[in-house]
Amino acid sequence: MINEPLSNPFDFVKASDFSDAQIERYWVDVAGESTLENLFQPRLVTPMLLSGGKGSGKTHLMRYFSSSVRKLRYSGDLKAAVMADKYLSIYTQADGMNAGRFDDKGASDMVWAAIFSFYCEIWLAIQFLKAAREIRTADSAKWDEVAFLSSAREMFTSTPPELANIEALITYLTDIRKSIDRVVSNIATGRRKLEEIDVCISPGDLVFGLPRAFRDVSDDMRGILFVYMIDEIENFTSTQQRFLNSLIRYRKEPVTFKIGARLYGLRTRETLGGASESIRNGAEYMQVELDEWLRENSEAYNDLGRKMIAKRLEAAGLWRPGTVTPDNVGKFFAEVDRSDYYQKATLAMVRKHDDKGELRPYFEELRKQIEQKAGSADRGVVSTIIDQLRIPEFPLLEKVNVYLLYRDWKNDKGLLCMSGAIKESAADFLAGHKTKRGDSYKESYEHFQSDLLAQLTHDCKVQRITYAGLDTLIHLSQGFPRNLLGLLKQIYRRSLFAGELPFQDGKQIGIVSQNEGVRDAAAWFWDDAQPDSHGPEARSAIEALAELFSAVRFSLKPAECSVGSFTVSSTVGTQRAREVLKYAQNWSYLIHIKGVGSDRNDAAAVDEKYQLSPMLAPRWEVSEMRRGAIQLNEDLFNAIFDPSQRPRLSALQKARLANMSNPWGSNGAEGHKQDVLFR
Amino acid sequence: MNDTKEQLIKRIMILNERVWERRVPQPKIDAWLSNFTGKVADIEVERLHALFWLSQFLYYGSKEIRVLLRSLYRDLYFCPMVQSVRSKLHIGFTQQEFEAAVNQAFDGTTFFGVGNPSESGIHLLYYFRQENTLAKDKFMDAAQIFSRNRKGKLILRKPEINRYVFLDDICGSGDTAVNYSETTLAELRKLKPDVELAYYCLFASSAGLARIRHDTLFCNNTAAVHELDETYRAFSDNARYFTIKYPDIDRDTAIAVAKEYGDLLDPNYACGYKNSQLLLGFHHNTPDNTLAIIWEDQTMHGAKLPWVPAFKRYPKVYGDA
Repeated sequence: MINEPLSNPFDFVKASDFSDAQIERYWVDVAGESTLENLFQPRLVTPMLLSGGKGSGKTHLMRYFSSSVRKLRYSGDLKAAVMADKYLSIYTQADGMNAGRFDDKGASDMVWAAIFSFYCEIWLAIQFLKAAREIRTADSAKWDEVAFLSSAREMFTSTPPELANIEALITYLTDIRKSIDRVVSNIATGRRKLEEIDVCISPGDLVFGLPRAFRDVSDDMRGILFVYMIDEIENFTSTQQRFLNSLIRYRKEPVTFKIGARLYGLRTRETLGGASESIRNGAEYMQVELDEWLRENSEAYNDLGRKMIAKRLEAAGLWRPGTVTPDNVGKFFAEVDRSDYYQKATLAMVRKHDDKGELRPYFEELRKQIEQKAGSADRGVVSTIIDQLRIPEFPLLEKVNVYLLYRDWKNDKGLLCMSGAIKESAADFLAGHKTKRGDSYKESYEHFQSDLLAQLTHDCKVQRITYAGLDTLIHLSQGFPRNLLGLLKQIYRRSLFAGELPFQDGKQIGIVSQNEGVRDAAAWFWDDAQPDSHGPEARSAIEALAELFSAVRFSLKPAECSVGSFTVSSTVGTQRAREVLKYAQNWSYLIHIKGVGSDRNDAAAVDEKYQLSPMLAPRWEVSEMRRGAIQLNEDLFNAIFDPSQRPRLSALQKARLANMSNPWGSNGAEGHKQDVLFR
Repeated sequence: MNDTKEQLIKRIMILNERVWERRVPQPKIDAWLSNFTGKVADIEVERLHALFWLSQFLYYGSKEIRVLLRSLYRDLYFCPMVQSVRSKLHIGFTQQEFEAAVNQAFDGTTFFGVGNPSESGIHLLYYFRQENTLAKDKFMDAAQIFSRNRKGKLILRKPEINRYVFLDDICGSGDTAVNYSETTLAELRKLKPDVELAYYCLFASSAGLARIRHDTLFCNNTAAVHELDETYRAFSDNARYFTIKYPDIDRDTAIAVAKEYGDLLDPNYACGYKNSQLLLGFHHNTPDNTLAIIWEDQTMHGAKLPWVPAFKRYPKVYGDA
């Protein structure tokens, strides 16, 4: 009987749906100096834009450092948390304001900007006052509530009624908020008018004024930083974001902001004052791209991934806390046996052909290629060529041999001669002799082993290309913790189905379960990350791109190894192609690799490099690595990314692949004579 | 072929996770597939088609059976009974009169399981009672229907009962109900000519229901929660299993694999009991109306080939008497 938890330990809900206790419970940070806490810098005075793709962990990070979660470490005592942390952070989600209502319906952008700014200010003020109330309740003796309320009343342009306590101020503001809700919700029906809304404060008066007044009337609050954390601002229109930008630009002590947004979330940098008063990264705010940071700090991310797994398994009751450390989580994931050039796995692949006494499929393909080229070639000579390339106990090295022959075919040495030379190179390599030809062979093996193994797997058609081992899984997730959870969730399902006991009794999750789970997760990622706008164009472009990568990888002589990326000059491409590229990047189908350098053909231009998300690599069985990149010229780039240029793709792709598909090169069969071939 | 195999395995995995109560994990599927050894077609083709049949298997777990038992009570017995009572009342009846009449009809009802006390029909009574919060005295064993007076004459043990409701899990050919009708029910009707007899089951083939209505004393008081029409018959022209097209799945090959291996296992049950051709199983058992390749087992059923079942069937073992 399988001892399984009631639910999959890697089932996830979005951090926005977690309770505060769950945020605290599932939190992990990395060891060393590059911690998430150091990245987030909760006491940083400069406002921060925390951007990142879907599932990069922005919400979890922000909520973890919000005071409502921090206080759990102090038995629910918010004041104790604030005093210890030296900051009070108020977390709120932009979609809570239902900002979509503040638009159109016959009113101008300017009017809506004023009303939304008022509403947003009231909203933030209420959130702040609720936290202040909690602190007051904890220790009412140490602050002057009457003085605070007096200051608060001064902030309004039309004086509010007498306020007996902070609760009354909250009620007063809540009533204003509700009155705005009523008007805004009834505009469309014609029963209410925007003129009914009396904007009774100036922008920023409450957002900055209330924390400052609170600090001024409470000795304990001196030196405390007040942080408004506003998450998911992609839900705001650019007009609405201008209000936030204004708050950032004209920030006043002791207040700051941390803004969470998707990659494309910041729609404008303008403030309410217009383009001349924009906010700039590095000046008015600093931007942190979370998933990019996690990718760049790959060791830290690997550590984070391992800790996440340990934490989840402990929470599910599969492990007792501390029994398995993050360092040895990896032992539960079977890995491909790479010893002796993947001998065990590759011999299993070719066994079917060996048992039938058939040529191994790559030799069969080679035979066809030679016969196609040479017509009625001497069968004996073909056999001799193939025999020279044989290393039966190491099928992967046979693939290297065949690849080298295809690669060098178009020189005029003759296949017989070349196969003999390859045989000698392979012999030197196997014997470990330090010769030029042995070293060259070794270099080819090291560069192309992953692709040739993939080809071998394809050739033999007995299994799928393998993606296994914890490090591979963490790499596939590419800085997105949610992707890692998605992978593990599917792998866990597959493992249970396979009758394994995942994570129990030291048992490993088999390669097949990992492989199937990775494919399930790729399908989930593809379906889940559906752009709400321009989705079809972005998906179609990604499909075309991935098919190109696949065609390179499975060609007879790939020009680059482990192709999972492309470069393109920053100056080329139609506007439409550039837009679609941006959409694909925004939805994390593509990852922008920074710092590539100048274009090889145009010194004035900079090359941009993009990697296909490794989460999608298994879908097309392309490389998950970014080692090899193919250069896209303008025509091919446009044909892939600009829907109007798509009809040209087939011909352009064929031309791009010509050298890789034809061993004898692009000159065609006329370039060689039979006797040259067999010299 | 690999793509289709992957699609089918994925479907089966989801079914196993969500519906089949995790009873058929991959190792069990592999063991079951190893039964197919190339006797009908290429071994891989056979196994792919076997996998296809498995992916179409209709399973009702414990929770679903309990829900169906609630439906059976409410939709087949209680509501029609209330409607019948109401239609017999005089015009302008009061609430009290109505409730009294319903209670009287209910008190005059007893439920029976079809078959031997060890069989599934009876087994379901326990859950039927639980799900519908019925008292124990609402149930009887068929053997308790009759008694004998001092002179040895057959009499009814409870003459006040006027509604006998027989319950079963599945009706395939209708044989069981016909046998009941010819023996027990005939005696019952003789002793109480105005007695109401009803046969309700969870699942029934359309043909089985028609036969019971026509050939037994249950007549039109025969119903099923889930009627299995012709589309549930695996080899029928309009079988529902072939509505989703899978590349590499050929209808004729699929039928040949199921039939020919079924024949090799036991010609009498190759396509299920009396050629029922069902693909159905329950938490408590797999009916013999289901294709033999799913449930046959050399040890339990004396299959003529060594065979690992995908879903076990616990057979009826008949004694000599």
